[in-house]
Amino acid sequence: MLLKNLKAVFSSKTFLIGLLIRIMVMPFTGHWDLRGINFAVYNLPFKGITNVYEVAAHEPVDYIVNVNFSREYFIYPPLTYFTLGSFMTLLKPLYGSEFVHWIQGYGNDIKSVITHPYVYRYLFLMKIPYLFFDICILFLLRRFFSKPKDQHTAMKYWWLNPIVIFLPYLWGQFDLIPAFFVLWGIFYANKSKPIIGALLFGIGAAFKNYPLMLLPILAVVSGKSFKEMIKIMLAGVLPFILTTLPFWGHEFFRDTVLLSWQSQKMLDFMWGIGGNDGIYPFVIGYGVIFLFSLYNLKGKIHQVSIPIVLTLMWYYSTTTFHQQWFIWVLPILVIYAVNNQKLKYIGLWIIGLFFLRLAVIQADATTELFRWVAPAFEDFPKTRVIMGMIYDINKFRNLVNSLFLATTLWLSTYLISKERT
Amino acid sequence: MKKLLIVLFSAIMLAGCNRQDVHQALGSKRILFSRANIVSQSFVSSAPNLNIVSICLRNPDRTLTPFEFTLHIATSSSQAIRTLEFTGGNIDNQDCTRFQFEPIPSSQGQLYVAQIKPKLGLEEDPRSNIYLEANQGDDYLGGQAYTDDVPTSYDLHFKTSYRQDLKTVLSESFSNFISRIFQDPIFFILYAISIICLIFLLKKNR
Repeated sequence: MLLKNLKAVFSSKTFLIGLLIRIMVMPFTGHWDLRGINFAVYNLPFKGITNVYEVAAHEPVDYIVNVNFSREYFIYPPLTYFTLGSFMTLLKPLYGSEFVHWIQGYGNDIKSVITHPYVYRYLFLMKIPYLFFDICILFLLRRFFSKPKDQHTAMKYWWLNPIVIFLPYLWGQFDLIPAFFVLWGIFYANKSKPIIGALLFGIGAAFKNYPLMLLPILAVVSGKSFKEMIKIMLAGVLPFILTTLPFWGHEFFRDTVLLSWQSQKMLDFMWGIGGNDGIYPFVIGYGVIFLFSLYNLKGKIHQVSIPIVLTLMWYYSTTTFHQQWFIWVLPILVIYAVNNQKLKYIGLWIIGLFFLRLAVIQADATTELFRWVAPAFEDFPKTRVIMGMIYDINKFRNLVNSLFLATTLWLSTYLISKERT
Repeated sequence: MKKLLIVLFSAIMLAGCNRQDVHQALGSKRILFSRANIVSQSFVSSAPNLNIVSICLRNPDRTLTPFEFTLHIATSSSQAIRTLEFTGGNIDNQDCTRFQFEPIPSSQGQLYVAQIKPKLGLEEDPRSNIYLEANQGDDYLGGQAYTDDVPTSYDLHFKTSYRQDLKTVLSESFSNFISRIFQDPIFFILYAISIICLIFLLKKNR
């Protein structure tokens, strides 16, 4: 059965086309983020260091890493370090010893980093872990459906999705790893196994903190009693605590991972209510979604993905989010699009909006990604500058943000009304 | 139509591109103009046609203090070869401020000094809180920052660019790309095999 399933996927035209596109772009593009993360990760296979936060806090920082991130080049929980580090350990013979020199940099000689003879090999190898988790999501998505036709549609929507190809392979971001664990958690929650679902949410949070924000929703929807809700919460928090506990004593870890400014970005947007007081629109929306989950979705465990989508979409609409975070919601949107063909138009709309936002808001993630092909790409006018020549860039950005909010509001209303029928 | 395309293609080929050359992008220090009259940075241009020096000035109060940017060969005491006047209103608080001038064809290997000087004395214009971003240390080895013509231990946050025509950009980029592929033959042979296999499987699947 398993072999038949594997063969059905690996020999399908959709899979081969998607894999071909991925392999074709993998060696040639990447954001500085990719090198920044691996500047931390290489310490495990090449130096045997287990406390990366000690290194980030005190050891010398490469010039390019310093310019782009200063010392905050590794602000992720330790499981990210150990997972990506394990992949690098396995692939170490292919990296070769020269990799250490490349990753440590050549002072402010950026050109030597960009035009290094082995740079295409390094870019390719650094993205291999993403390919692994990408394929895992693909197989998992198929398991949400029983009909072969739906399984194939899910495969097409995920595997040929331009956002899924862009974020890990052109950009080089690892957000699809926590997205995989959250999706797996939803899968188990749908099978009425909320404790396993919560554990998987917790493992996802051990890569990036955001699943912790989804955990209370999972608990109230799937917990039959208050005691069970607490159990689900504890099960979800456990993997995060266990994997991070050894580092809690480290100041750099506390400041940059546990209490990082990025994990509190949703509090940047505040409405003043007079005096020195204000209210946070994200928290208002989150509170409403939480209460909706508690009173309207309680016990409807197969609908747990609705408030999760609402929370993530609301987060994107009220926060100046980093574009790579959008992959968190994408697998769930794929499931909706397969279940309801009408939603494929909104899917196309979201893809368009994603790339429009990328062009007008996100810094250094368009032509700059091709700097490895030719350093001249670094010198081309930024898309933001070009778009700014067409229309006032600040208004353009606000328009895109407004459209994101409009999409969220429409999708939320649609999903809630569907849930009622 | 054909003629129009030829004209368009020629225009694109003749159009140029500003290519980044020297840079020092770190900024841990501030040099306040209320404490220095002249701030300069020396650098060596590694390419011909130097045409932009970008310096990271900040003007938090948006005052209209008049300034002068000058570019000198070798030492700041020599005569300026390029001069641009600007005010605090021209300072880009988000990015570095670009000082763009007529390209210098013979700039390759030449030592230059880029200098910024307020046009009025401190008594006439208090200069508000205008400052330059700089970095302590020797990240940029080709030169250093000076305040009032005295060498300092830091470098300004700056970068320079040179003009290159698009034809050269394309041919240089293409030849560089091809040569790098040949520098890692093992990887590219395996890479090509995997691409060919995938295409073969796709064709077989038709």
